[in-house]
Amino acid sequence: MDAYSQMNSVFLFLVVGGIMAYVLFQAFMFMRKGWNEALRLGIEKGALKRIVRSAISITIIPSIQVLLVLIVLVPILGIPLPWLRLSVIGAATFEMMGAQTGIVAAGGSGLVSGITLEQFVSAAWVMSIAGSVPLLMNLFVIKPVAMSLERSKHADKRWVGILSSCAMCGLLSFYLVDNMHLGIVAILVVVACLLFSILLAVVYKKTQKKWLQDLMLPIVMIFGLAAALFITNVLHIGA
Amino acid sequence: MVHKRKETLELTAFEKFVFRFGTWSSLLTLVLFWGFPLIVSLYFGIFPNFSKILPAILTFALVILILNVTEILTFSPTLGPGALYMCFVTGNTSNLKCPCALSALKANDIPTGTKEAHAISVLSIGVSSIVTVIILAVGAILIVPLTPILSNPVLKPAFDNVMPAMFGGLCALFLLPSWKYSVVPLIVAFICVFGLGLNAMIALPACVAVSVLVGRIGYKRTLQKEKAEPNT
Repeated sequence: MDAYSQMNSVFLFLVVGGIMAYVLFQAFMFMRKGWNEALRLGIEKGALKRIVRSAISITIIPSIQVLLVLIVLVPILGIPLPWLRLSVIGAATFEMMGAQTGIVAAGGSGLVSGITLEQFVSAAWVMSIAGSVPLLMNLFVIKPVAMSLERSKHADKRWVGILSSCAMCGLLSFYLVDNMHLGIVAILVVVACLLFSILLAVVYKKTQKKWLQDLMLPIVMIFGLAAALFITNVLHIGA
Repeated sequence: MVHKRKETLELTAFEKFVFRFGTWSSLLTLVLFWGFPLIVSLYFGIFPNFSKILPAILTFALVILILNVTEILTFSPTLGPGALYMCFVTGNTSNLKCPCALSALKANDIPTGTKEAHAISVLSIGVSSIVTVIILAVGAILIVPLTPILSNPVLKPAFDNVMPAMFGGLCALFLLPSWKYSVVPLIVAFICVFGLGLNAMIALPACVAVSVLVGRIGYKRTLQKEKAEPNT
């Protein structure tokens, strides 16, 4: 059996499938508790159902980008390892870099098909161990930070609210500009989506259609994809 | 000498669950995660040269650590710890999970940082996590027929601009209404990214830190004003 067939062995599929089932169970438990807590706090069931629908629709489009990375990695590493890494903890960019580093450390030339089993094993170690840092955060950092913030809230609730908004603005500002750095098409898509969002907000204000508010972000994203196609294929900008 | 006691907080049943289940389930995930390459090595009878891969592991770990710490400090007050536990298990925090939660809060006019926000964030990120795992599982099964569609050069510009589209929308939803807090970090972001060419490891914490600093200065000024004019 060649190396690539071994990377796709039934045993590895079963191991990864087992880990996925566990992750699904964890997410389901959190989801159920979040639902019950939201009900307890007085949020209506109808609103929660809309939130679930909105979460599903928002998740679909960005998942396409993750699928694209899966397509790049599968011919090189087989299905189980990329599937595991992109579903659990994974950030698409880091997984490609991690795979490349692991393969090169074992004497390979990078992300090309035809790697050896040694290079595959090396990639698996680098991607798994380096990628597990967030879990260490879960164990040692999240609770102390959350408790500290809760104490601060008791002392100064207003400031914690402002802190929350400022931190979010800082993060979104960086990612907005970082994505504009991709090129002229990205800049035009950002501007187009910004203007379209403002238009949708005006329409919502006039019509008060709840579905529009719930699905605003996925609608804007679909518009953005269409705008990217129009800008590149019709206007031939950045093509 | 007076010793200041740390205030004992009363946690709700939900908060206790979040911390307890979040910690133990993450520990089990960590064991499974570290166990996976070990199982692969035992199955194939091949172990890597650890002296060669250790520098790479440490380098990546450091980059991820800095980004994670920034995400914890940013999202903890906004979305709550429950959302973070799930984000760090399933990944894609800033580009998928966080926008999902923010959109849910915005659509239902729930202020960030509240108990309601924490519960809604846990719900929406839980749904998003399940959907992502399912989409990737379906994608893994249908990889052969999906590849020509997703690799189509005509459609490529659309798939290359998913993130710009998302952040363009989020900008309108969050940055514009909070423009007083957004102006300075936006300028800092432009300087860091376009001017200095800094990567996320430096630019992201810088933007968040500057934004918080500006907010703090503004808040202090507001407090001073209120102190000076208590009756207005």
